[in-house]
Amino acid sequence: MRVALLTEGGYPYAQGELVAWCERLVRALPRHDFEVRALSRGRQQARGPRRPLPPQVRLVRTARLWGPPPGDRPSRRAARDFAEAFEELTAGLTGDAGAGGGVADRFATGLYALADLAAAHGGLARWLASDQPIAVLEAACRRPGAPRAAVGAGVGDLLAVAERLERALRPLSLDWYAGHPFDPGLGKADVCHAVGGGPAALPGLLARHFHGTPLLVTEFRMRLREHHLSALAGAAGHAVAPSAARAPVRALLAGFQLGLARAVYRGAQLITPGDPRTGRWQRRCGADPARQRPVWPGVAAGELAACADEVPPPPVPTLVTAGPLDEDADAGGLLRAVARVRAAEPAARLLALGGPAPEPGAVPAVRWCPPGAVEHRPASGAAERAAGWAAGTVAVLVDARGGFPAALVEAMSCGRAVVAVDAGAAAEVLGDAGVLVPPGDPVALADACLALLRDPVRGARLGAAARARALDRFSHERGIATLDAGYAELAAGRVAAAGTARPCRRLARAVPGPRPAPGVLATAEELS
Amino acid sequence: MSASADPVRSLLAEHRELCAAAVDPLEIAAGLEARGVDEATAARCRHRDVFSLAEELHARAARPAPPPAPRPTARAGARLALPLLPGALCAAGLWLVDRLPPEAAPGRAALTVACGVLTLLAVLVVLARHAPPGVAGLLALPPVGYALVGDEMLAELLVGQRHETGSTAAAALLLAFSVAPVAWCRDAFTDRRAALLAVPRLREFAAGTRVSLLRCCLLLACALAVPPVALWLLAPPWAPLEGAAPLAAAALGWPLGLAALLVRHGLRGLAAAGLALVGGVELVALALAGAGWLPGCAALAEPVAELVAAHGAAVVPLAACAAGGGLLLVGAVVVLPRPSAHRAVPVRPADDRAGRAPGDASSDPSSALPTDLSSDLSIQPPPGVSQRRPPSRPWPHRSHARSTTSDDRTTRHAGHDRSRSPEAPEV
Repeated sequence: MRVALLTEGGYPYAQGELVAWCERLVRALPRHDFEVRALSRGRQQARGPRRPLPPQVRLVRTARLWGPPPGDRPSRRAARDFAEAFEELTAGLTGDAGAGGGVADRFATGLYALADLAAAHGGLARWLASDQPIAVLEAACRRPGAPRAAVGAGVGDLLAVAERLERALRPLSLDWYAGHPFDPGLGKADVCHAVGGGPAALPGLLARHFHGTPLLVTEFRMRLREHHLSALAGAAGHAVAPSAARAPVRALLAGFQLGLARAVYRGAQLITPGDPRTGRWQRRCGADPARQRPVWPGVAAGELAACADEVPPPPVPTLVTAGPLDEDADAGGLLRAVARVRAAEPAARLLALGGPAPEPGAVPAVRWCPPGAVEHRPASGAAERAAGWAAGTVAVLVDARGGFPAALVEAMSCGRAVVAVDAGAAAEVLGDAGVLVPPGDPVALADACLALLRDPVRGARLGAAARARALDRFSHERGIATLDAGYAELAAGRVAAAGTARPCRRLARAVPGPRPAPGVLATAEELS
Repeated sequence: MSASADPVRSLLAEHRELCAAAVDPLEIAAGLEARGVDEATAARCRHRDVFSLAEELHARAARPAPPPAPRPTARAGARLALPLLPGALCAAGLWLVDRLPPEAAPGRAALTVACGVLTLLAVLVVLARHAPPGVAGLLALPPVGYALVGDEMLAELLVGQRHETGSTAAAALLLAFSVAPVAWCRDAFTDRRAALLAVPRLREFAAGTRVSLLRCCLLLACALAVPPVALWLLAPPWAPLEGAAPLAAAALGWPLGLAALLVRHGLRGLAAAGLALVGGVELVALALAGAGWLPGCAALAEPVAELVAAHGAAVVPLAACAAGGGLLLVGAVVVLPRPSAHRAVPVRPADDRAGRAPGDASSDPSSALPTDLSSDLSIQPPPGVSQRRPPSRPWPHRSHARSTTSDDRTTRHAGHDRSRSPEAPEV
């Protein structure tokens, strides 16, 4: 099976998002032919080192989402067509539903029209860098139904938005879709797997538009949510934050993110959210729950479990938690609970894995714990982390950040009884293989820990259950198996659908040809 | 209790900043989630989920008018005074050279070179600090060199003619002092352009830019006349104002000023073309005059010789400056009113984001989750600013702490943004 892995700012570049995850995926599935198509986010990344490629990677193609716009200046006629299609896209961007169809429809219509025109006229990027799209955006901000914040957009804001859109829409101008002598094109792939829902999914969306290639989207961090969070980080409380985009820019770009997310979720046959929160956001943006299939990011559960088995149980009752202990991780409540535990079990101590020791005074509750009660241990790498978790009697997880609770799954894999605060995805991950306490309740936390410290049999039982659960559900292998099943399902659906129309191709596919020698196709490299 | 009567109102009070700054209900939802508001809180507010709660908050939030952007008033003095530095350095050097006795020839030469180098450095500091000129900077050298020694060379080359040539010292002084009006006009236009970028209409922007550009050019032309007049009035003995050559040096300030303006706004190619035209005309004149010495080619030097005989040696640089300056002016008037010409000055400079060391990505707080995923087990709950989560039911003394640490939160947010990954998604 031929799988096109679409990444943005990650694999095969050694530095970036989800590099290790993608590499693990590609290496774990040697039966498939992979073609990696990567969009780079900056000069540093594009010129930087790359991961060594396994032989199942048949082709690597890259394009850049940075630097001056590639391509030629479009003709006058092409520019007029582009302007019409871009107007449709911006109508969807600013929330104008128009006469026929909804906002998302207009955005998707404009997007696909732009893609068709870009394919016909040879590239869109130079047009997007010209004056015309700015004029179209200006008109869009004045349409009825435009977001309130976008109404006050100045020329500088429009320039900023146009520049970002130019970069985000560069996949429309790529030559990845039709075949070349050295590149069979995305139309020949059986499945497009986009890692991330932003610009990475655009080539997959267009491959589906042009050739009907099925699209699978894996998303660990929902792009629209990230956009809003970064906007909040820049804008909160600052009149003029040094690097914050102004409100009109944020509003227009949020509109674009939303439109793109909707188009992607509508076009993707299979969507794999990385955690329940991402899944919720996806459904909010129009993802069909029937097409969602959770794929947890996972941890190396097997390796951790093997390492943890070699560590002897601790001599004194020890609570182990994930560091660093600071206000963000709600360390105050944890330390108060530890003090309560020590009142009942004077020998008990707390071990914090990873992160530096907190500065004096950083956590007000540290004074509740006598010196020596808390030990900080820097731990990185599977063996060290496993040894750290196994050095505890009970694992306590109070960090209630959303997303995938990786520390919790590590603790579970190491076979220690787990007490976790019921926040984020903790309940879903832990299930009944541990003890959940309500957030913000140190007394309950201390009581749960004490109960487990005093009942080693129950602790061991819960630990074994937690390990079994972690190995079964949250290992890397589990996620990869889910994705592999998804590939097979999508490819089968494709062959069945295409079989009636193109029987010859189906026959041709039924007989696998000789594999090209590794490295022949992988040299086909292009920086557009 | 009002809190129990309307839980949304207390939530609104608690997250007032967030709700006021948000441009979208989803932005409020993201912020609420990051601050630990979850489905349970939403249910308490009688909402299905955080999204519908955020929608109500967005609808009910009061939006104060955004405070006006602070005007950059600081360092105005430095901005006014710094452009005078090259002229001051040049004048001081010339004065010192004049004070040295004529027999100290090596000392005079060394002082002249030192003074020239210092002046050039000062010019670079003033003009090239914000926008590296690139090839336009190199192309500015031939006209400047011609302004200093070109007239004498031309006079030497023209067969059988002797012409009065001006003083090199006066030309250098005038050139050094003309940096000041150039820098002032450029900065004035840049400031005006920044204000114009906030206007909502493209047409207004184009008209305003054109008017502002023409005003700046007029100002430049007037200001460039000041140094020669001052020199004529003061008439220092060490920089005698003789003939029209120093005036040609002052006229060179016109194309140089326009080129500096264009370079500041990212149009290096146009600036280089204009300066190349100036230098080209002057070099062609020199070459024609030189060709007159070749046997049988005396006719080549005829037009130059006639021109110089009729109007003096300064006619060549003046014509060159007129041609180059005209080209630059037309180019600027055509190109600068286009909004896309100002793309080179982005709201968030991309260079800042791309300039970090390779090791930084793994320690970057904003890439919290992918770092967790990519570097297998180096799970460091980051100084997760955006994920900051106060407990939904704070302990008694925590609630006090929270009410006083809102500033802390905002500074942390800002720090988070500053430390964003260089390769963070653009869109």
